Amino acid sequence: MASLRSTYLYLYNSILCSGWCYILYQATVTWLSGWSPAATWEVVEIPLKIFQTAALLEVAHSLLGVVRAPLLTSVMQVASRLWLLWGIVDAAPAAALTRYERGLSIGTFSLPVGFHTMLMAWGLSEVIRYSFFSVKEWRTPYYWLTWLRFTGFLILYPVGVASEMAMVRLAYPAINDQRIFCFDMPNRVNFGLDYPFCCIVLTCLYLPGFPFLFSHMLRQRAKILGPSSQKQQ
Amino acid sequence: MKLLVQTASGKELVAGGIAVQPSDSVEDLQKQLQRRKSQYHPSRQRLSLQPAPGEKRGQVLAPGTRLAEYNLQEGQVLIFKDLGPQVGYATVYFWEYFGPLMVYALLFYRRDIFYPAFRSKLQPQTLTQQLAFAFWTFHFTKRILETYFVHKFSHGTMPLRNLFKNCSYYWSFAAFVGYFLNHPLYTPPGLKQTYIALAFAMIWQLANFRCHLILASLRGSSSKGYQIPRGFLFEYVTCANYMCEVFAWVCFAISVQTLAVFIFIGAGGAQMCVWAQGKHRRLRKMFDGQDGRPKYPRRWIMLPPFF
Repeated sequence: MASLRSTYLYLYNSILCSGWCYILYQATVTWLSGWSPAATWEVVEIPLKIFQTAALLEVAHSLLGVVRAPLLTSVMQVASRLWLLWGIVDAAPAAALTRYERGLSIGTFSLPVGFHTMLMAWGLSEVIRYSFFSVKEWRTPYYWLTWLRFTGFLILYPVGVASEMAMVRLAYPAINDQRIFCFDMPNRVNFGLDYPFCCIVLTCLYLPGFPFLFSHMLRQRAKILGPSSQKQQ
Repeated sequence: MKLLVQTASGKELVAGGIAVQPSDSVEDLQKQLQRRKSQYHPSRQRLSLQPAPGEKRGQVLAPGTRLAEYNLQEGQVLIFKDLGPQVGYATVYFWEYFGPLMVYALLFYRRDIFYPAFRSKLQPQTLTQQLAFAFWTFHFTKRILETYFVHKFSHGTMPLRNLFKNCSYYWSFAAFVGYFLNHPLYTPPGLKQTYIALAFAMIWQLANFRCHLILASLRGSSSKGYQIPRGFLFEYVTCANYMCEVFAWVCFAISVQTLAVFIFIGAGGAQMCVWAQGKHRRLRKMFDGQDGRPKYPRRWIMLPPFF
């Protein structure tokens, strides 16, 4: 039973890892060759949809106790990704994929954030994460991999969130103008759904959500890479 | 007799211990402790015996009992846990039910504020909307009155943060449901549907009230521990009170034909299922039919014929 679980997790994480390697490769190459976000979207749309949506299985794993990851953090991570993918980029690709936003700047260095940076941040963190989990099923992960897993997020996570916010900001006017996914009253069930309003609420949820997930990772980092764990290495 | 009070980590809480008589109640001990450590109101103190070897938790000194019941020895160690700031059950219930009354009434009476786009063309509410407001008000008034005149709570207090948690749950759901029911574009179903379903909703509300009376009488006859609920719908269902509540709300949702009400009762019903399962398990474990204890009869947990 334990070996079945182990084999399954090894396969799942390896497949997801290779999928994200492909997405990351495409994102990097197209970014360096100066492709537009829309052109890159055409290449990565299908694999991105498949491999990101497959992450729903991680929520199921956590729910069924296949892995020990806490359910709430899994749900938050997967839900925010799926919202960005299906509810922002796929809902209003024309608007979301037009340009970059002036985003992160440190001193004179400034990184315009948008679709490519989001793909890079997602791709890098997923490749690291899935290879870590995959390796974990057959041996103690190499130290450099463990280190990357619990260090990469320090940069990748803020870049990811900044890019995601840029995507929402780019897509929002189109979502609002075309009233995408809206269900208006009057109707027979006396209910209405204002998706642009939901987008604002979801964006506001990033305010408590980001510190929550980031500090969760910081605690993990302290626990696994901290001085007390050095003896076991 | 001297008792030593320590925290779970073994730190002595009051130097030299506390002098008590075996005839003292647990409250007397807690008051003495508060005199020495004024920040710990008795409601936030949990005192327990040291765990027996191989066990994780020791027996808790329950309020309402006497120290003599625990065979305490001179110099025995009690384990102290600070439960954090506490608030009475009735207080929490009052605020969590009073909020929905106010929120809904605001939406009902001040549509000009909450639906600004329709300000200039507001029609009087439909009869269905007025009935919905009446049912909502009746329901939460019933809950508040039951809190003060019917319910008997097995614990006196709960952590203060529950007040904020429960209030945000009920207040926001009131706003959610009230927003759609009072919306100027609300479309009522046929009046026949409204009347029949609302009548059933009221019947289930009365049944729920009777369940609460039965539960209160169980607590009244013996202050300690659980009893097997009997009579009325409890002959068939462990948590008949929850069943009546859910059925009443489903009938109400049908009578006003509003998805928001179904969502409200879906969330509430799911939570009630969790509580009902816990209660069913406790009763089954407590009344296992061995050593002269009665056997818990075979019953639905909450929602026959499924659960």
